[in-house]
Amino acid sequence: MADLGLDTEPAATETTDVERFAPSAAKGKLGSSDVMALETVQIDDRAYTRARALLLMNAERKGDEAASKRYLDQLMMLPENQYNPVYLSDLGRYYVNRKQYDRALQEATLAERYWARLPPELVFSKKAEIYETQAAAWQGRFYQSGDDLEMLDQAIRHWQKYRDHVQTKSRTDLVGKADAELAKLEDIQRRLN
Amino acid sequence: MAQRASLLLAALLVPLGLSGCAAKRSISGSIVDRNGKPMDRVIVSLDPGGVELVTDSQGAFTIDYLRDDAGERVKLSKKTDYTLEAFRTGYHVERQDFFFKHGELLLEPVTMKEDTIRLDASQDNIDPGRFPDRTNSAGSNYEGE
Repeated sequence: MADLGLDTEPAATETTDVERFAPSAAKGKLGSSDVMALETVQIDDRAYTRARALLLMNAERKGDEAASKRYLDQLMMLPENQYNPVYLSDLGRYYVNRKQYDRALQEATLAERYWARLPPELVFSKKAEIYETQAAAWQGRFYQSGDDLEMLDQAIRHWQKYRDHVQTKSRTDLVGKADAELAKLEDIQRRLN
Repeated sequence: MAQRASLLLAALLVPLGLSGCAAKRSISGSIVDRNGKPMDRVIVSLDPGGVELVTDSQGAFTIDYLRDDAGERVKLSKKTDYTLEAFRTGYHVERQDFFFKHGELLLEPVTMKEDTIRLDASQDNIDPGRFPDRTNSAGSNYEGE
């Protein structure tokens, strides 16, 4: 009788095996065979998180939101990833772009709560993303409300928080972005008051 | 005979003259979104003029008076350059300059564009996996930076 391999354990993939895809993933240049190879890494494999993280990075670099969301969902299937501020922040951004502002705020708030899990090298940039997501979510909620001044106030306060944070590293490009949003919201505040 | 003809002519001209003096002055228009759908609750204002009103369910508005410095209604000034401004939360403010000569003016529809909120993924070339995992670090209890 032919061996169908039904009784054999799936071969474990070493993290080093998937690491060779990292340079291409960082540029969004994974080929279809690379994607297929990474997607075959199963959830019980120790390389699963790294494989999905590389697929996520590749999808984000390519601007493929549907694939990004799919890989985020796959990452979140593992309990140890569910409080990872990097993935929570990415989810928050996804929901902002889908105009699901309440959900975006939930994810970003959770990401902020667990920010200390971030490696020091990522603290500044990821906190900036988290604060930006919170500010954008409040702004979106205000726009949907039409004239809820409390939500407008929250949006202004969160853009100010983002501005204060990016100012610490003198990121003039990001400060400028915050200033533009603040000017717009403060103009609306003047008109509605 | 000539006197009767003059009176008759005057009788004919007076109503015409009166109606000319009382000719209605107004500026009308409508506000639509990018799909051409009428937008209600848009705040429309006129400068100079100090007048501000809100579009109806058909996205329409009609301005037929101005307000003076004391806030009193005054007649719409003819032969004047005006700027119409349209504002609604969540949309970019739109402005339209025009010259109002006299009578009833119908403006071209004003199209408002939504202020899209969009976040892009960070362009910083950071691969989170390159750094040590701090999953078991202090987490939410750590408040310092």
